[in-house]
Amino acid sequence: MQDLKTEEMLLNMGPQHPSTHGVFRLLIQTDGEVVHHTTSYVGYLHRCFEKIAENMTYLQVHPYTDRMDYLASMLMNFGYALTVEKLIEVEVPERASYIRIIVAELQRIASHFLAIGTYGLDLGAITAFLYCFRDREKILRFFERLSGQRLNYNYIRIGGVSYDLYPQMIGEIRDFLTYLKPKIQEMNNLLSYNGIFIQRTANIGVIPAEMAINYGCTGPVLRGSGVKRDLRKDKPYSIYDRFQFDIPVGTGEVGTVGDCWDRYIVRVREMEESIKIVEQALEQIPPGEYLDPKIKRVIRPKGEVYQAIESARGELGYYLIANGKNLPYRLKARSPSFCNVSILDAIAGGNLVADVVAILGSIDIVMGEVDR
Amino acid sequence: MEANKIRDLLKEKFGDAIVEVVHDGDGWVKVKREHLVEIAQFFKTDPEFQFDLLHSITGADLEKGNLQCIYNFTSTKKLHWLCVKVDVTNADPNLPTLSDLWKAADWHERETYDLLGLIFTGHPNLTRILCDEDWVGHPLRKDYEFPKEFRGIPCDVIQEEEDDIPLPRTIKKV
Repeated sequence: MQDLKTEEMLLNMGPQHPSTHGVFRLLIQTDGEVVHHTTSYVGYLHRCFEKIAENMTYLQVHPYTDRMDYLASMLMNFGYALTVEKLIEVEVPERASYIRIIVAELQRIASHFLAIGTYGLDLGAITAFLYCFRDREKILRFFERLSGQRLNYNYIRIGGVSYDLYPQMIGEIRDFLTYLKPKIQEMNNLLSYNGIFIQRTANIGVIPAEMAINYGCTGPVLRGSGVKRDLRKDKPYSIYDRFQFDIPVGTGEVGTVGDCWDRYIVRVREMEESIKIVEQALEQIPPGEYLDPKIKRVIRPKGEVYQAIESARGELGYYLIANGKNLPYRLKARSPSFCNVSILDAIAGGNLVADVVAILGSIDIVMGEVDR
Repeated sequence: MEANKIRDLLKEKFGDAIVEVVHDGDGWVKVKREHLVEIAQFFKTDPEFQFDLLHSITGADLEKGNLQCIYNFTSTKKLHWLCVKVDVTNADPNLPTLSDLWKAADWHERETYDLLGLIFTGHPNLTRILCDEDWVGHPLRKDYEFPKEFRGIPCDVIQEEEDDIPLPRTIKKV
């Protein structure tokens, strides 16, 4: 029988799609099963945060930073607060720094739960999704009692935080962490070492380390390829140098170094490290102020500064040009997902369509951050 | 390596191609656009510097027809940072592209072109990435006019009372 001629078709994994983690359009050239080439289109959620920031005072920009990466809002606020604090005379109280670390690490755990849960959902494992969201809800309940919001908290401010911890919070967090450790073990039993999950993710979407660095990838994508780089250890900001924790990297345990499974397991292990940091912070937290009492209502910094922090998805940087007025002159947010997702077009060729979903899920993007 | 030392070493090696070296705060090195690729090639491959991660490319509209492109580099092996700036003008916003050296430059340069209007010569696909393909104007410019309509849909909000504050509302700069 002569060979059947198959033509290429253009499939739109369009802006509305349950597996693209937001409004992301992927144009796939495929012959039916194997993907030959993909082209990504971003910009469907572009709200021009940078232009808005030029018309708002420094305090009014805070809620906008929440809404860029809406799944890790505390970390977005943290980066912005640290950037502006570099330019003004402010002394963040000790207690505020510890509260910031506790809240940021809890937020990292919640964000990774969501990443892992939706990754399982993309691949068909629905139970993992429900387990992860159950535990994420407990963290969100802490944040709701603390700041009034479940998702876009606007909690970490320039000069400290906006409210103090409520009285029972430290005890409740301690109980929660004791509850959480066996749950991560449960996740490993359920999903990480599950034979079907390993077949779907091992040796798929391998990103060599040099390629990841060339494309500007940071965070779990870079650490999954074996490069041990984390801003909390390399260039410690705030008081991260007071805590002991490890940086997990991908080692090719069940496949190749830099495949989807490695990026996934880096997130699971990072959750365990974040638990360690929160425990140490809860031991060391001193009483005191939660916001610098001398900070002015209207701040007028002057200078240019670039500050990067380690967010849940990679290195989040803010570049601020301030000219002494009460509005920023130019504020740029360097979002980790923007750089991470640009690698997709380079590694998606040659895979099945189902593998493209697995690769996209393992890169873990949030479109609010990609488009700003 | 210390940030000040990196900037001084670059100034020593490249002399006139480096227009300005600033050490205050985070500091930066201002470079002439013709020499940008040569200097970037140097500090990417030289074993003392090894700036292999391009962190971000952004731009700023300094008023009176001046535009500036700002690059942030970092090294995963040596753990040091560098900020490089290039000045261009409104009349001639062309810059050489760095996408041959760092693939990360691809999307960042498209974004800077889209929002600010800097044109990167030699870029494989310089099209708008965040705004729509048929958008007119570059939003981050200081003289950008907000569009009155987009594809037939009116954009400005109807003012209902006569003594309303004129739109777009901006906070008074003090």
